[in-house]
Amino acid sequence: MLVVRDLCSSYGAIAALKGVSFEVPRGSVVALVGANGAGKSTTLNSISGLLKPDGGSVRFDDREIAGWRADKITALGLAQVPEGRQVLGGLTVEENLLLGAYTRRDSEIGKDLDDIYLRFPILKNRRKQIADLLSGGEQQMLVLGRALMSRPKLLMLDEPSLGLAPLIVQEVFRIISELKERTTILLVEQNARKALQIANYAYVLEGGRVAQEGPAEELQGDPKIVEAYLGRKT
Amino acid sequence: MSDLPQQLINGLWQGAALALFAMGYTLVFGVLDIINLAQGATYMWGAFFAFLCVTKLNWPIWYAIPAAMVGAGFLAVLLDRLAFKPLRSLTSGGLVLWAGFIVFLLGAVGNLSQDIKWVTIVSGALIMLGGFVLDYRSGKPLRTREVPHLAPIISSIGATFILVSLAISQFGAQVSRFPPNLFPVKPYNVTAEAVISPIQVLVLGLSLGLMIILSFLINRTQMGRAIRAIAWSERTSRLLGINVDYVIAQTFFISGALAGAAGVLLGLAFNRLEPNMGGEVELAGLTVIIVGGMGSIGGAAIAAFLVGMIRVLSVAYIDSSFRDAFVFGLLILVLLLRPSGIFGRSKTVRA
Repeated sequence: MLVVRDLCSSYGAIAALKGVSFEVPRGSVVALVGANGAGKSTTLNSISGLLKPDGGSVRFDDREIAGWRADKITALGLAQVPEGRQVLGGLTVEENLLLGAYTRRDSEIGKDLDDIYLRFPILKNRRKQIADLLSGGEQQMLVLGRALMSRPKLLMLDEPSLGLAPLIVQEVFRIISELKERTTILLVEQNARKALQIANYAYVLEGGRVAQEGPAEELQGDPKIVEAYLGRKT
Repeated sequence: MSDLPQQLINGLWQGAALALFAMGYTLVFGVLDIINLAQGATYMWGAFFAFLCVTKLNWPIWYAIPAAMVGAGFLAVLLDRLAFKPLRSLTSGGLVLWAGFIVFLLGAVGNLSQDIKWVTIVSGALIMLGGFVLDYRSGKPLRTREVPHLAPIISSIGATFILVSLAISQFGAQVSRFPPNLFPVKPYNVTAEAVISPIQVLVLGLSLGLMIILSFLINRTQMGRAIRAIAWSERTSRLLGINVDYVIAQTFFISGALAGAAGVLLGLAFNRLEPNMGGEVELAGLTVIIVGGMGSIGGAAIAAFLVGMIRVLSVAYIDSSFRDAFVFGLLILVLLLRPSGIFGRSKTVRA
């Protein structure tokens, strides 16, 4: 579904991605793990069009989309949930969700909104509230719901657990594992243990390159990965 | 004070027209964080668009008003592309647009023979159209660094000069008037002594109607939500699939159409059109949006009535030369007591 080849990106003179290649097959959950500054978020931003890649190819549904404008890429069915949640704070919860369906013109938006409220009851209770007033966990639910409103073919999640309390992190991952029944997911996480539990396949990024890849269970057992990213179980 | 009801009526309809002007003003500020000081020139051109429709094309005023709104709307979009967009991101299309604009200006005001004049104007307009399309489609800016915060204000002052000079070259610096008898003159009695003329009823009614339409557009439609989304975060809006460039153009169109409507309505009510008419409403409008809270549309509407009343009452009961002093007195008072405006939210609460 998504095929990335030799993707290069930079911030001014600083090269952040030095040729990243990976694939996300339809119906799978693929994780990108790695330390801070390894290029995980840069990879997502280069795919979604927030950042113009310097080189390489991004094929989504057999269409070359590298360098396209972000809004056109979103319209193809590729939804990115950005890092740090990024709710539209001055708008209400419901308005945030409705804007999730901005690229859609069909008549089932109202039905999907009810679905989201069923899945995230907390959002229903707060639908008329300004999104800024939600807690961190609720905001994460909101941006997940908002991304789902676009009926994405591919959902790209950028650090969904960042800065959340442990209980909320569990809740977020429970929701992600429910979502994988319905859509393809590309997951970027610093919490490598959680990410590997949920993913089918994973890539380890290091210094803007893919350092290692493999089925998630294998990486979970790899002593090098355990040492570098998972830490010893206490 | 026996004429107080009459003065209140005057304050009301003038405040309503001022509200139209100020809501467009504050809308652009909310989305782009720029003060478009050329809003007053757009207002003036709105009035003259209607004037052209009525005098040159012999259209009835019912067609001229919407035509003027559409004309002023497109003028505001063009203004954005010439004066503001190059500051946000300059593209090669933007340069072509500017080249076309200079050719157009040469044709419009240059000392040329009639044939050459029209050839220049038309070719300038065509080059501008091409540049506009190029600019809109091009995603690759020539320059990406940020410009100083003051730059848009300065360039909107420049745009005002150009628009006012263009109007002087076309209509002269003197006062133009709509032909008489566009409206019945017999006023309606509101009370025994207070009257309101049909044109004033039109100003009040149309202004209130447009306010309701605007509030519906902004609060209840995807377009309005997208406008507010961009005001909050351009980046997140892009991720939601919002074509930011297009929505900014929509914002300018709405803002310009509102200014144009205010221009026609006040132009009709006072029957006084002159190229410098924008300056005065510009200052009143600026006061309104600061008092109402920068970026707050509802605040602008309410503050406009307040400012309209103060203007009318200070002329009626104190001295017409003190009118603006009272308006600015209100401004200073609000800035002292509540710097974010009556309905403004201070941005520091954002985590």
